[in-house]
Amino acid sequence: MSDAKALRCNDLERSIKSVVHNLYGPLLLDTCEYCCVYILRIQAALDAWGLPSAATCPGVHLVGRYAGARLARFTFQSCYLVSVSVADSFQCDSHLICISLSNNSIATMYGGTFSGLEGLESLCLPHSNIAVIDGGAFDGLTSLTTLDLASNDIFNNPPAALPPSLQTLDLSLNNIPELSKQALAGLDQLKRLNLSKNDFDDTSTWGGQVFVDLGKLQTLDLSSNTIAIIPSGTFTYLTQLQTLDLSSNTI
Amino acid sequence: MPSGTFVGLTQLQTLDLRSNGIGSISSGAFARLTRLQRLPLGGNHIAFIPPGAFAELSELQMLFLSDNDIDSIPYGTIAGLTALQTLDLSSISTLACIPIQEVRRLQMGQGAPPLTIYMENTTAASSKADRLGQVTRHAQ
Repeated sequence: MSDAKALRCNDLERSIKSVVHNLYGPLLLDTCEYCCVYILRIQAALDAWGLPSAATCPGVHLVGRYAGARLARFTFQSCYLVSVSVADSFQCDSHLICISLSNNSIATMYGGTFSGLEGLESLCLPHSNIAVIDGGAFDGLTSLTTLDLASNDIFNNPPAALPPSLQTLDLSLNNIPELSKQALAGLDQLKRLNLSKNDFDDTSTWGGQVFVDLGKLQTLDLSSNTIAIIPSGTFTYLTQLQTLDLSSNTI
Repeated sequence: MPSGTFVGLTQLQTLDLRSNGIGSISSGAFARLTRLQRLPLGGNHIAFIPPGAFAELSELQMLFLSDNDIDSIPYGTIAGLTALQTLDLSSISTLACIPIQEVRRLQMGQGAPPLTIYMENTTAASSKADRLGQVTRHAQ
């Protein structure tokens, strides 16, 4: 076994331990279901463990393995996860309230991935190399209050269909150059919006209308962009805003 | 920083404008931000503060002006800042004078909180430091 592969195996072993640790903690599982999920998780990691070389690691594909498991929290961090495929990954699991898939290598979030998860409150996908989010990726997440997409490669507008129940939206550390007027439409429960460290330069295209539904917003972080122009009235609708961070721009 | 940029933000408590290229602020830039408590303006190129720029900020507790190109703080600039607790004037090598009379008057006010003024690396004003020290000691 090469050094590189041995290293990767150690990483995976740690990942498995971490996953198992997370399973032991907050899960609301009975013993039978717990064992089922435990085995599936180990198998998923072993798939990656037996890879021909570290350089061509295809990662772990999460496809339908967890269907039927009655999880409350699902954590799959730093496990070389490269895709979360369609609904069957998480379908039939209305008990799930938190999914965390940070530090993986998911490039595309497909439509319907999380359908059926009406109870999900928190979806954390930071550091996952996500570049493309299909329009219906978050469809069905009617209880979602927290969506963390920080530190990915998102370069277009935030996806059109963000759940209107959102209270916290983190899009920091992406490559978004502008916001369309509809980008944040309907997010009338949003309290915290982090747009720092993107590629915003001219906010005149936003025209104030982009924030028209955000009457409950309390914190807006636009720091570390290259914003040079903020037209009068841009923030007119943010009547409850308490913190506005515009530091490290070029105003 | 033109006036009207922040219109409507009547509940704003923190407005962070550090490390921008701000060269000047208009007299109405912060108008009607009456709930503002923290205003970091450090690390810009502000050379001149128009009188009345902070006039309506009666709840402002922290004003950070460090690392700018200010040469003077005109009479009246801090007169209305009755809740001010921190005034950061550090690293302003161009600053020639400090509004000692105004600071003193602020501190005389009924229920005025103790005011701490930071002046590290603001050498041009160092000759005034002793007198300012008396003011802050008096405040405490």
